[in-house]
Amino acid sequence: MDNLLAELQEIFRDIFDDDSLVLTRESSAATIDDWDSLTHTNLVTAIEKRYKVRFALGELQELKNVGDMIDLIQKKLAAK
Amino acid sequence: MNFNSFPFLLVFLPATLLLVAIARKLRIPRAPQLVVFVASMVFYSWAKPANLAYLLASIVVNWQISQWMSAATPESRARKRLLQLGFLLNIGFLCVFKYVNFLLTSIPYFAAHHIRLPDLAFPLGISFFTLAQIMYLVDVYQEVAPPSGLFDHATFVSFFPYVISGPIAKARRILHQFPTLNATAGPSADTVARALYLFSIGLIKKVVVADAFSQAADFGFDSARNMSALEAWVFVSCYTLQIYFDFSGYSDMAIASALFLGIDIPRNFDAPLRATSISEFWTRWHISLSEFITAYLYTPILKTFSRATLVTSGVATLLAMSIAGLWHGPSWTFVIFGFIHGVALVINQIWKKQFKKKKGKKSFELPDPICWFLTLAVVDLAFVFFRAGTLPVALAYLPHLVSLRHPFSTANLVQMNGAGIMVAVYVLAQIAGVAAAFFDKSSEALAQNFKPATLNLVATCVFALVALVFLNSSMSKPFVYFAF
Repeated sequence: MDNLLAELQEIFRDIFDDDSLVLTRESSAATIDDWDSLTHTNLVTAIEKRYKVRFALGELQELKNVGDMIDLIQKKLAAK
Repeated sequence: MNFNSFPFLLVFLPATLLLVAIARKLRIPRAPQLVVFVASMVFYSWAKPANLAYLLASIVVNWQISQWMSAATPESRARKRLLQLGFLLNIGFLCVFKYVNFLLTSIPYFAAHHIRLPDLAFPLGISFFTLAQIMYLVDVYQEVAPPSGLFDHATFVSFFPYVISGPIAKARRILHQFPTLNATAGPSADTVARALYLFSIGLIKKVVVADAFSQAADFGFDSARNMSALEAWVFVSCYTLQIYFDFSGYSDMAIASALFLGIDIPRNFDAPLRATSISEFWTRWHISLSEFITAYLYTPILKTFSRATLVTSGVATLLAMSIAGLWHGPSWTFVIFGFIHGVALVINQIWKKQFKKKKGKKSFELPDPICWFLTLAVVDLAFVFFRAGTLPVALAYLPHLVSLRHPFSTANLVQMNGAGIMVAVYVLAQIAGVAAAFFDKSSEALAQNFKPATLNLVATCVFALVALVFLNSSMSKPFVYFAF
């Protein structure tokens, strides 16, 4: 779980172009300034590539923070 | 049937709640759900019983496709073809009633030869329940939601609180609550009190505040002569406030009606007129539609490009918002309404990226009041097209917004509320509306923090009584979003 958070932090730093970004389970669009629909799509695409999983359209809205994202990735990895 | 009508308030809603309460005591499995389903059928067919056939056909066809889809192997071609068939049937269904003649009259050859279908009056709520069906099919296809049973699917789609004008519901947010609906206990007294409170707020928003603003907006768009720039902005702002109170009032009543039955519908508005950017506005205005646009239109369009960049995202935004505009009705004015919001969203995104905080540098940000003012100006500008109905009317209105001839003249404003005793009532309602829209908590926040205390009891009674008195007058108007 900590690994996943650390790996996601790398992906986030890359997408947001910000090496100082520190991610927690509570990080969300409200706490990260540039997290909009464009960066969200880029994040999801990067995560899909990195973990070889697919997110459904209806799942993306349910992700309210990074914690939700981690839980969903874990669920998908477990189902593989 | 209108929420703001005596048949609904005095007969339909109390009778439905009473019958559901009785059904709960009978301990017959799913009897309360059956009552709700039958009530929804009555509600939907109230104005025009023939419409019921279209709703039922949409329910059965989409349910059948979902069953076939779930029986097909995941990732198979057959499953994909079934989803495509579902899209084709749903969009085709919408087009036959709403868009074919619009397309034909937009193509010069067909327009010149007067080639068109007979004008069919479209079934109420078709735009809303068709989107719900599309989301359901996509979710079943992507295995986010299991296919429902026919009875559950029919109850979900036809649920009377949202079938005619939304909020656009998602199956997986509603279906899991049916056991609560069927439970013997029913909602708690606190929940019922909260529903009453929210319903009375919604009712007064619609019949007192929205209708007072519509008085001024109608005057501005239909009767005003030699409008100054100030007047043109005031009248279109009145329309913005009218549609906000009209639609958010309707949504409050929809959410409250479901809450009476113990069903939680996601909120549809969150004080949108206080947004300080257009992207924030769309997270607070018609939330159920903007969630649909983001997840089911914008994201798939953006994903068709190989990379999500500022440019591809801009194209996806413009396309998604123009389609969302057209969803409101078969007219270029609605497409332009969506397009203006799309352009504003693109500018918003470029602005954010351009002035993003760079290492060691301070970001450039406009003060909040200016951001708010600019956002509201864009919202107003787009609503000129929304209200105008036809392009010539909209284009005739626009020059007034920048007119330099007596820009601060107020001759029309003096007449906007008519004459006689009602002037004071309209003015009071408009002042209360401005205060509520820009300074007070949203009705959702008020309902969330609701405590069954004396003050709230008094507020509920006063709101309900005043609204009922207004309902009894001739000024009460139908909901704007019924037209969609």
